[in-house]
Amino acid sequence: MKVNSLRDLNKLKSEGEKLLRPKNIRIQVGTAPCGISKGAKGVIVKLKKELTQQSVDATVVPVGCIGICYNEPIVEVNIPGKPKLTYGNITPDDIPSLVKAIAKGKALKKHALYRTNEEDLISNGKTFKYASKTPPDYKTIPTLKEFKFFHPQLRVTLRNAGLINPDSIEEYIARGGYAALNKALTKMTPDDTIGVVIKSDLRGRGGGGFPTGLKWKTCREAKGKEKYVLCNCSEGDPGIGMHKSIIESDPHSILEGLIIGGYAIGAREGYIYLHYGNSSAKEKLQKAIEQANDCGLLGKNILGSGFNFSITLKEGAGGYVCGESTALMASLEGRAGEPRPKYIHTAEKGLWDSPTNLNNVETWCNVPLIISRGASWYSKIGTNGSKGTKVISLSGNINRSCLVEVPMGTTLKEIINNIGGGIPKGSKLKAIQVGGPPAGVLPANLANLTIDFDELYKAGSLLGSGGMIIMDDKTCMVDIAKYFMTFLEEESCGRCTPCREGIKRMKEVLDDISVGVGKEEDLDLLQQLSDCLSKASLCDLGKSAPSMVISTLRHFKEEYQTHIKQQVCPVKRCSM
Amino acid sequence: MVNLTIDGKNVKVEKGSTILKAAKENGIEIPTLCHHEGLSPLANCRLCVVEVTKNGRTKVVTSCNYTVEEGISAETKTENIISIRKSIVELLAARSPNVKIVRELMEEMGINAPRFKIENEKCILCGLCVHVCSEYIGANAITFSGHGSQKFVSAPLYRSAKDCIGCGACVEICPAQCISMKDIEGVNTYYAGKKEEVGPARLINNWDARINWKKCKVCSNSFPPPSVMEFLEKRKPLPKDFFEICETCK
Repeated sequence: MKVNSLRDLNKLKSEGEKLLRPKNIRIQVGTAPCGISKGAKGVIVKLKKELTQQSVDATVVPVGCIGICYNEPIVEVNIPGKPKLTYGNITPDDIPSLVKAIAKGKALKKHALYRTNEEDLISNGKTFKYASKTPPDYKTIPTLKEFKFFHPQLRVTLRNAGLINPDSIEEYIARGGYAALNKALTKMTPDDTIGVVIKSDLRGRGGGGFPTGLKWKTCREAKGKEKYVLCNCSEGDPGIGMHKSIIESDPHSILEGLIIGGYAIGAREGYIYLHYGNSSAKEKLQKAIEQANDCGLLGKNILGSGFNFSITLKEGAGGYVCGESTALMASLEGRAGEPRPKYIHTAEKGLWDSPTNLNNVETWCNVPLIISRGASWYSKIGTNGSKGTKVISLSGNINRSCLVEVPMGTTLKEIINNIGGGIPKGSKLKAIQVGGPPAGVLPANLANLTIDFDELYKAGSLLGSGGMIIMDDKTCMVDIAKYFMTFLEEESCGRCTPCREGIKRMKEVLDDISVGVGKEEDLDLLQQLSDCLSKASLCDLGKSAPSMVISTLRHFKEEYQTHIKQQVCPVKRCSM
Repeated sequence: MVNLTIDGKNVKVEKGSTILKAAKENGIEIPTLCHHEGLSPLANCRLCVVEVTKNGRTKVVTSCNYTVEEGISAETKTENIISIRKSIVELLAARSPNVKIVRELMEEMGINAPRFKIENEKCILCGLCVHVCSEYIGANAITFSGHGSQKFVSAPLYRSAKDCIGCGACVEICPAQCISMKDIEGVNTYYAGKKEEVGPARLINNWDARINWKKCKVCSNSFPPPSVMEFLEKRKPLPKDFFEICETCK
């Protein structure tokens, strides 16, 4: 169905609402990467079979990441008129008893995590009610608000994740999707749109934290026949999977953000650059683009406004360096993914030398919300310098590895203890890596720092893309620095001398230290190389490459010295 | 014209010129490896770094591709810059200790021996050969292969350079002098499924390129086949009467 006006959009909305709240039972299964890896596909197959066998009238819907990844596979059951129930750790063996309970309209208490009576619709501020009354046998199950895992969280970017079928544009619209696009195209001028984004103080979530609105403004004002908007989905840091999860849970929110951005900047074409190997994310995005094209939300004369916009999906060849803006553009142009020197900003001369605006997945996802809820609503969330929320992929030596979203200003400690469930028994927190390889590590005594661009920067770290890796006291810091240098040596493009030769030599020195043949002078040598790399490298990969070495040297120097002087690894990680 | 200061000296240069060019014009030497006046800047070797102060903020930039701006000041020999250059030369010295230009730089910077494991690479990966082949000649016969520390220059897909026209620009431009080119009289060339050809040819071993040469009927000297000249003419138009005038009168 073509959407030409708000009326058509509302038609799709009511269709979506029927899907979200059907007359029969709706069963949702988390099928984001976290669910799939724990066997969600097997659960779906068994579930469908069992439902037919026991002749229960229900629809099984695959949804994205529900957030409680440590409880995967997760099954959510919504019987009309009753609260939605969330079950965790469901194996195919549990399905018969689960379906039996569903058929009777009862809860399977053994696996029940929480019940949802009503949900806040972040997109428009309304509430979504499942049931006004709670059946007596549900009462012992905690409500969503009582479930402590979600207490410090605020799911803004992940507003639809785990709640809608990512393959259904109707369900996205039913939860307030594409309303912001309609608002921007019909009620706001491009300058108004940029004004709202500037006022919201949204900062780029890709790592640098540059004010998004100002970037848009520079790009809009730049001279050029064609302009482009790009979405950076190239995430290759070790231990991070946020973008993948966002795309696989809610692909339309990225498209909506990108279309609004295109309208504001004056671009007619948008590109989504995907990291190589994300086949499921690619499928989801392709499907979403197809649906948006079919509905006329992409293409010519969108929503009758006269604005034309198209989105092309491009898959890279798998280089980590392609997350760097100029390397990404080179790759999009069809050349080798190597960064180019940029003393002229890409907002003025980017893709094919035209003004180009690049933001990452998370930033684009925030845009529709800012437009529909307004800048003042958005800027109430977070701290003075950093507004909004941050999606964090929590992994490492922690009890609950999961995808979380917290308002800016939340302390690292709170994330680790209250959301992550603390460090596994028998060990202690030693270090935290907050923003991927460029951020370096923070020692445990700095866990009181908050998630905030400026505060982390002052502490010598970076918010970066928000991958948080927790390291316990069995981690050797020399070993971890060596690991990251090995990773970066492989991922460096090799174009400039400091990065190509420097990383390799730093790794060599670390190798020596870790096998017990390090010399006292090696630490100075590491400092010198770090200095050269961070100042003279061509792109940010090289400039930030030494940060793991710099930060471990700053906070854990004695550990290096033990390796060198006593030829002993304090945690017995390095083989000497 | 743009006014700026380089090493404290007031300098007036043309708009659009780079700091490197401005420095050279005013007798200030900045070391480079990957720079050539006839080509656009590469900024690969990072040896030409300088400190630029603009609006009170100082940052390290490469002078070869930083365009001059009114009122900025550039410092080319601060402690910081010297130490960066030293580190870069030391890294190169460990990679290619037997390359003449690297040895000269080592001497200039007072580096006796690099503190790393010594290798013996002949190529310093400055990128000039690839750059001249694509930007100036337009043959695109060679490219970078691999990435990171495993990077090297070769013909695409590691095969012999089919598109090489044998102009020798890469040989001429290489600061490490590591590209070997030979014109040989009796070279056997094999064509798959065809006859074997014997005759003069130009060989560039680094890319396994073999360009058959013509032999002059009169003096039996070998000379490049017209295809090379035609190729060059297409890229950079030669004067119309180029082929009408003999070498001496050109």
